Amino acid sequence: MRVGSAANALDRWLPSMRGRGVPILASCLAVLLLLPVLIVAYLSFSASSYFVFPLPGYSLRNYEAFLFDTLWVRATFTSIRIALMAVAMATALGAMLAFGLSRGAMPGRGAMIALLLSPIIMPTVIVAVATYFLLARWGLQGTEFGLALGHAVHAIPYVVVIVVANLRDLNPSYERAARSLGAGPWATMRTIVAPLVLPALIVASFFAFLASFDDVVYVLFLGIGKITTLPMRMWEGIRQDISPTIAAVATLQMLLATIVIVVGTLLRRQKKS
Amino acid sequence: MLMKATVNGTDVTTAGIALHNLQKRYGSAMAVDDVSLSVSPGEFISLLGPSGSGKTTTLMMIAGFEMPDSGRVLLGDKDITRLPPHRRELGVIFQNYALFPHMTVAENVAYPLRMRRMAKAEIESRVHRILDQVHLGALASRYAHQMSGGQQQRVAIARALVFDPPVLLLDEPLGALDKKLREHLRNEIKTLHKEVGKTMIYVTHDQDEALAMSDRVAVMHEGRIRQVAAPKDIYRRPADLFVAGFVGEVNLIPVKLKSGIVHGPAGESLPAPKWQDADRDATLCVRPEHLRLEASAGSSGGIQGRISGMTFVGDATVLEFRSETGLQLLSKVLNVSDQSMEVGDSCVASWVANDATILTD
Repeated sequence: MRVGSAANALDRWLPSMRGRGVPILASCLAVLLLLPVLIVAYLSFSASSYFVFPLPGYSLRNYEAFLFDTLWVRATFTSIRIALMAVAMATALGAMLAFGLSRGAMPGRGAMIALLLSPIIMPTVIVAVATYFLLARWGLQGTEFGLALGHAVHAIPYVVVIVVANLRDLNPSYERAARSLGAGPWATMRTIVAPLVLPALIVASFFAFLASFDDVVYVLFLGIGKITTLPMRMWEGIRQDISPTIAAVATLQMLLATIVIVVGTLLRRQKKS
Repeated sequence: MLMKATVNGTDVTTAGIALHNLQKRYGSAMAVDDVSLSVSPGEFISLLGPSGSGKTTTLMMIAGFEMPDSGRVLLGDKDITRLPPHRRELGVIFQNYALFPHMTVAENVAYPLRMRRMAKAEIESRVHRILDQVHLGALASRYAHQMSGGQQQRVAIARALVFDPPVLLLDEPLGALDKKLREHLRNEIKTLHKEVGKTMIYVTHDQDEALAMSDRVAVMHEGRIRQVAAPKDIYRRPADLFVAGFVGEVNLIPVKLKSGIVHGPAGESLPAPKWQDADRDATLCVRPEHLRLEASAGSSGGIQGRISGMTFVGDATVLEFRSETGLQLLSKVLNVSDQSMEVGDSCVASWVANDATILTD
């Protein structure tokens, strides 16, 4: 493993390990960062109904508790529903924005990009409160659609950034070539642009999904106690009784995120080869 | 009007292209300024010019990717000025070829036929035939990134020809390649032109390419066509100073035309073609390979000076000459025998009268 040359400058200060100082340090850091995650995963297999460390015995009872508790299952489906709505909106709007920003010659492009990225730069609480006031004006507070709208705004920047990066690699002469070969604008979109942008769109929609699926701040403000998503249920669970079921849910969520990231990486690699 | 011509015993579709007073403005800059050009069916014509001369914009207006502000584009006798690119039926070969990266060679070549909703069996047989014709039959299932530059060019050509367009437009297809490959592929395109007999319009900034490949060359500068002529005439009889300087190396000698005689900077008489018009100042153009440096002046006159430098360039030697009035000239001599000239030798620069061109702009 080669870390960047700036990191290699550290080599001089590390005990000589035949130039492996930096990789070893990096590995230690990675373990340190992943440790909490690994401990949660470890605790999720507990046989006890309390958080006990080390585990008194292994079992899948926490997973059972999650899968057979209607509250948890309902919260999961609510989360998925909202996330899918948010993904549809964020991907469609974000992809169009990305197209316009990278292909169109529009005035005020810089200002528009700054505006787009603001939801991930500004503190989430502020954006969530602001969104609440806006939704309240239309009576959408406490509805799943309203929450999905908030999540979509939060996810659009991720979509735009990913798709713009992909479009930058997409040579405009492909589109011209298709036109010269007899494809109309719609056929060009369908046969050339869409297949070439699809991997990026899939990756972008995964990230949009995670952005929505993970969120607790927006739910707190926009759900006004009426909507219980999975993270919301976890939050309540922690406040009421500290049961290791949360560890099982968290482990499953991390598994999902890992799958998304791995699939995304594979898709991108496939495109490059 | 499309016409059927017969090349090597087979019918081909070909047509002429005519440009009438094309104009295109970007903001305040005139990209293409009143360009008119008539290309006859089956002709190979190059648009040659430096970057920003309007040659690519002109080609893009023929292809339909740019709309002219005014003027007309005719394919045969059909006005295609406002036709969208996919209805023009013109083959275009792009810089870097623009092969679709998510399709195999066969799929790339089949694309224009699929867009024309041809029957599957017909598509297959046509793709098969043309891939064999460009010697790529064995690579049909490869992707573009698995092929060399030369093979990519042949795929691009096959894809642009498979739907039998009357005209092929080529936008600097060799621009990004190295010199050796470029020369090889330029011969391939030339051979292809002989084989298929299509009208070809070739955009390039490389004068060697334009001279070597074309039936005629249109030299463009600042959005205008400065001269359209056969390569030999472009080189030997440039219409103006820009063409003279852009195509090949040239010595420019300020002269005075007076009662039919050409006078050099020091008032000496110089060899030049016959001049009939009024007396005036002009520029005499002499190619370095036509400029001879000799110990004494011949009967037709020349410029006195001495050799100021010498560069060996392999097949030839370039001699730098400096006249008594300070004029710098170049002479290119093939390295056929021992050079007897040395730097510092005094000599006379002269040339055959008909090898020089008088320019009065």
